[in-house]
Amino acid sequence: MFELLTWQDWALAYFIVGVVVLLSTCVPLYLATRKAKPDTGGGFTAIFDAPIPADFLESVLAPLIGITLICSFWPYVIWLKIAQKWFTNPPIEEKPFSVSHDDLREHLSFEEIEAAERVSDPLGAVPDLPFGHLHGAWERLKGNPAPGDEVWTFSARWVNWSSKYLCSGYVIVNDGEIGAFWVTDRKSLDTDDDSKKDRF
Amino acid sequence: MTAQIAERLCYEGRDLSMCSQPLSDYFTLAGARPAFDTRSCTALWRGYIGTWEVRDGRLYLIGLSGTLKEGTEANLATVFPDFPERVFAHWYSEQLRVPQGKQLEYVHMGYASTYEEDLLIEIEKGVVVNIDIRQNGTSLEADAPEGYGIGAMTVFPRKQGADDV
Repeated sequence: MFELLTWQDWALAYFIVGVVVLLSTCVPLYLATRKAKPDTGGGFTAIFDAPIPADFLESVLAPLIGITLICSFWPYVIWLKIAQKWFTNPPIEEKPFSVSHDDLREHLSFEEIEAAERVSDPLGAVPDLPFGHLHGAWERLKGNPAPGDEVWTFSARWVNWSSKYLCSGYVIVNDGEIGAFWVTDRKSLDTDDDSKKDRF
Repeated sequence: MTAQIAERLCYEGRDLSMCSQPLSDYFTLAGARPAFDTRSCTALWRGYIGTWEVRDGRLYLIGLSGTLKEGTEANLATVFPDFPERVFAHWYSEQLRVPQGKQLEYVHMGYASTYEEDLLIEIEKGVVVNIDIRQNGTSLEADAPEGYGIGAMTVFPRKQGADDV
């Protein structure tokens, strides 16, 4: 049977597989995009109804080149998918900051903290409240203290991606259990060269 | 990441570009951040430009310009409703970097470009504790750009209702 096929038939079969790969690659992507941001227009038909876009390169030429490349080199696309699934390292997940018992420093009362954290300014550019402009965050930490709530200071090192910080602040401890905490100071431990980069 | 537009700093009567973002620290410590439009300009991922002043040895935020996601303009009162003119930056304990002189090397990322010297202002709880100048070298190019600048950015037009969904 195969000996009856011409090279045109083989080329057509190759192209058809390319179209299948194209659809299996792009349709899920389109649906995911549409799900993330509900369409305000008419889906696929809106593409054809829309006026000719001003940016011809981005809206027409680039997709056409992409479609042509996928249909022509679909074995490479399949290889990329396999490599992505089987040979790619899992994404590095940011380790959220947390407070442990080793980080606890000093047990203080709410009143002691509020007296020590008063902020003043000769130009009156800060509210006359504990923690000044950060008073709201302190109020959120305090909340409604439960029986047995203690407030401790803490100091802990933290590595966020490639940046190192020394974090300090206050944490609620109840019956030895670490509860809510609030970082009031975060000092970079990076070198000068690192600090040139954009932080946060 | 595109090179970023710097913050403004009024220091000893001069208007300078500052490659530090004390307001980012505030948002982190306060645990709240206004919904700035961070997608319209690749050189302004933070969505605002703050104007700062060192006065009598203290760091103040004296202005803010930006746009919120819903399209309204943001100013100092957007973040500090009770202090629309001047805010003491008591939350900040870091070094301010103010590049000066001719550009030595342009890096199209964050604030990574280098200049002939950096004015380094050490701040502790909003108060200036040390001032230093770091010499980074001398530019041999006569036409090297003077002062902080960014080489390129892309500005995306806001789409009607694009952020409403």
